[in-house]
Amino acid sequence: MIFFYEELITLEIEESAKCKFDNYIKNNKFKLESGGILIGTLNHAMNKIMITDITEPQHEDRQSRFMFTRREKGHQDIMDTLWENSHYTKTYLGEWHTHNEPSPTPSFVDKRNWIKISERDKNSQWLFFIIVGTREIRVWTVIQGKIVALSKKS
Amino acid sequence: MVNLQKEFLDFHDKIKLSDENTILREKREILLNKLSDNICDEAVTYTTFNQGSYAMGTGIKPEDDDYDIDVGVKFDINKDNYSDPIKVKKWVRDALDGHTKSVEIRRSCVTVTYQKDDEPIYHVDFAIYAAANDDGKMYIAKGKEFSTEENRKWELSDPQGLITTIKDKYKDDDAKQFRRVIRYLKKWRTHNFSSDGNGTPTGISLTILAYNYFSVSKTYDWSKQKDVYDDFTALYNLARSIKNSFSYKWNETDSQWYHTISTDLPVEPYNNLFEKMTDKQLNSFYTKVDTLLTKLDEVKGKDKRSDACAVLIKIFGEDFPSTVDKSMVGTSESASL
Ligand SMILES: [Zn+2]
Repeated sequence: MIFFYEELITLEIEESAKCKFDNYIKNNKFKLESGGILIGTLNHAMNKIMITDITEPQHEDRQSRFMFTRREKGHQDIMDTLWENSHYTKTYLGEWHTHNEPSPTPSFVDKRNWIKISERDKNSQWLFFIIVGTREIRVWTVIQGKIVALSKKS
Repeated sequence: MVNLQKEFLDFHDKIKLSDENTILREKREILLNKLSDNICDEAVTYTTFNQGSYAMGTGIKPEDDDYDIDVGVKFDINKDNYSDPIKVKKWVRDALDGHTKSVEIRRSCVTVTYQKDDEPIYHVDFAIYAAANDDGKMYIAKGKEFSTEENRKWELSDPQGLITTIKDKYKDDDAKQFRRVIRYLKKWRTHNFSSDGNGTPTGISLTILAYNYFSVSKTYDWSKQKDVYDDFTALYNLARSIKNSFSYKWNETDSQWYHTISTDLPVEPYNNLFEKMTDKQLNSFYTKVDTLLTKLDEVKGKDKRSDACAVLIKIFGEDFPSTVDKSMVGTSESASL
């Protein structure tokens, strides 16, 4: 699954990661909000970013019908392991969570959270935010403080 | 700046054409057997040796898969008894002919090209030498099959002396850094010059620039009791020295100032390795060295590993690893209301 934002960036979600999202849709797992982090690699030469892995809710996270709070614990350990095992090429690329609506749009809390995370400037310059809806998956990024949606390549 | 030594070593592992490359060794053996089986009775005895970047330990893998194997063939002949060097080249050409699609007498060698689907997959260059001369020196056979008299000649040459000179310049781990940096330069060349023609400095000219201007970059780590090598700095210093070795020269024909460079082969025939490039081409070489330095300065200014790698990938292509610092995932909160 490939998304892009103008000529600036291409984002590919690898099959194994996409399968995990698809499982939420297939099994209709939307009773509680779920989420996690996006992990992948940067291809500087092609302005392409690849999401290779995602994390799913960990023990310390808080899930309810209309909210998901992700803690650091668990996710950081998975990230570190993937970083080491990939010869230090895999990096944190953003967040994902589910919405119990067919074509998801970010809430006020989501938007504020995404802006805040983009200001951290500790990881990749490009960060992505995915919402998995009951029918489709949508992707956003933050460019110069503004949230923009990526288009899906058909 | 970030320490990139590990990235440089990984990069080097990826691009180096190693001595143990079995494909190349096999191809060479096949042809050498062919040569000894088929060479005509008229031909005198000979010995062979490896030459070229492969023999110097400075080869890089070609990106187009057109591997280049260089073999020297030393005939026990006195050049004065063979006024026509083409005669000797033909011994080799005829022995190898019929084996593949193309065996061709070129100016400086006999070239066997293997093809697959009309694409050359590798070629073997046989340089032919007269090795039993009155002056004790070696001469290479120059000229094509139908070259005029004045273009057929025996030229003074010292290919084995060249290999020894390069190999003996540094020892052990210092020599390894020397060879790594030569490979970085060659990879830079691949990504920054068009592949054909005289506008591109040759591999040997870059090797000799490194021979003249490289200096080892390492520090001693007392806690680990060993040398710690810094390939980035070695490359940076070499690029700067190369840039400084250009001179500014007025070109009458073009009515223009150009940055030009010359450097001599450190063995016979001591020719200027840039003699085939025009002043304008040399000036463009200068501009590229200057850009390389600017980009390396940019790398120095980066504090994020991913940003430093991004610049290096622009210089060297995607064989340079795209590594990142450890990520900090922090926390996150979302709500759908
Ligand atoms: Zn949400």
